[in-house]
Amino acid sequence: MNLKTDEHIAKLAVRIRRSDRKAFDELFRMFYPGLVRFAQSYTRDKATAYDVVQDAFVNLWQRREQIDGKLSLKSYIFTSVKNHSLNAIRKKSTITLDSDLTDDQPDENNIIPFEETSQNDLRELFSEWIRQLPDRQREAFELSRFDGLDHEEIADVMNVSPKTVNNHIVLALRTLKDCYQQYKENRKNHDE
Amino acid sequence: MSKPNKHLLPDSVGRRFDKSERDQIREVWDISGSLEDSVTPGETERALSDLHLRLEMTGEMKSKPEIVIGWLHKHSRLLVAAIALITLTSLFFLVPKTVVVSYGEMATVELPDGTTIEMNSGSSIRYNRFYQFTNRTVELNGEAYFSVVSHGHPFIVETNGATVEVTGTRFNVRSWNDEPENGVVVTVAEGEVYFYPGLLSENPVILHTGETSHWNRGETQPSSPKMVEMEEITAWRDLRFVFREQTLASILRDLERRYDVAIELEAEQAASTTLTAYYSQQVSLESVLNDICAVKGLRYTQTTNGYRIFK
Repeated sequence: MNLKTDEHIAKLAVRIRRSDRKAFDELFRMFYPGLVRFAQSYTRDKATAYDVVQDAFVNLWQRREQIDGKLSLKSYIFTSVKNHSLNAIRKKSTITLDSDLTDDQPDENNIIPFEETSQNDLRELFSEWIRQLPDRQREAFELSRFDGLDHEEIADVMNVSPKTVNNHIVLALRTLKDCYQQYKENRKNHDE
Repeated sequence: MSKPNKHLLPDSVGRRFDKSERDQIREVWDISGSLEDSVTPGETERALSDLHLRLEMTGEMKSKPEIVIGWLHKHSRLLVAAIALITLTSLFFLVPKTVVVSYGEMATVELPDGTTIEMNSGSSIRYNRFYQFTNRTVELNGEAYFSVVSHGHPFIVETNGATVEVTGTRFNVRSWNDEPENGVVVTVAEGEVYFYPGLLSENPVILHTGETSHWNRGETQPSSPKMVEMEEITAWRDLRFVFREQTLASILRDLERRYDVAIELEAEQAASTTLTAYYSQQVSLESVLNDICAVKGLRYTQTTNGYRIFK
């Protein structure tokens, strides 16, 4: 996505491999919010998401000497968080994995109907629309939009082909666009 | 995303939409990028310190403990030496630097930032080894004339319960801890000085060029500024004496420090009486003693290590 950031992360990876704690901290600060959000989409609760991200970073530090400079550190850490999340769910076994594997077709019922909202609530509305996206679409979209992973990296994390990733993101954006358009039309009617 | 993030819409995604739709898609992409993070920076920092703690506890070296232990055995003596060295160096850095000027001597100290401190006989200053890097605080007991160079940190003199704070200026501080009755006297030769008791920095007396103020323990604020002859205040720098309504006890202490002698005063009732005298050039101790005795109706005699004054 962003070449400058990618280069920077590659440099961080080299430094972390040499046990540079500052680089490690920087990586943590950079990705922590995104990783918690990502973990939470699996674990469904914030406390477990926190633990899972901590585990992933402890793991990364302990295996820092094995960091492969050719592979993306981003997809490595996201994949690691995903695996830790799935393990956490299995241990708890309170939540089934089904939600993670649902079909990708947008579900019209999920779209929130127009409500009276101020411009300030638009962001909240967007968050809600994103939450309502089918899981795989949402995952691909968030990794791309929020975390800046490229298609190859997302493909690694999600274990699908880059082409599928692209499809997910396109479908997600189409749904969001439809919601937004509907919102704008309703608003116009309401104003008139 | 507390600040709108810069990740661009991937071309491969954009291409999949009709030209008519692209503007809207871009708008949707932009709005989504401005959504707030559910994790605050504060939470991130807390999580990071949790992580640090966990790494300390599990021990980052866990993957190869046998190597570490083996190394310890082989090099235990080296290790002991290294630890001793580290301890000594840290002690060295923790112990502040102290400059003591003996009785009968004077000294000028130059600090790393170029600030100079002229110190009267018997005075001492103490400052941190990281002076200039962490702060510019100097502890003073005695009398000194400061020529402070402007610098990022304010220059602070802490002395017997009082604080003097400046940026760049020249001033004199007289503050002997063996003369608590005379308190702390600050006089400004050039510039502006903040003078306040202890840490009560919110209510300082502000002194300008030519002004003086004194403070005694227990008072909430130093006295209001008063104009003074600077030349009299700093006479000591030229090894001269100017006593202005100074108590006999305090004058004798000045003489003891300057000439490195012990002076006993057997006429106790005279100790708290004051005296005014001006010497335009350096004088011998005995000529000062002659003057004092003449004015106060006293006599003096030499002892093994100094003088005795009596009625």
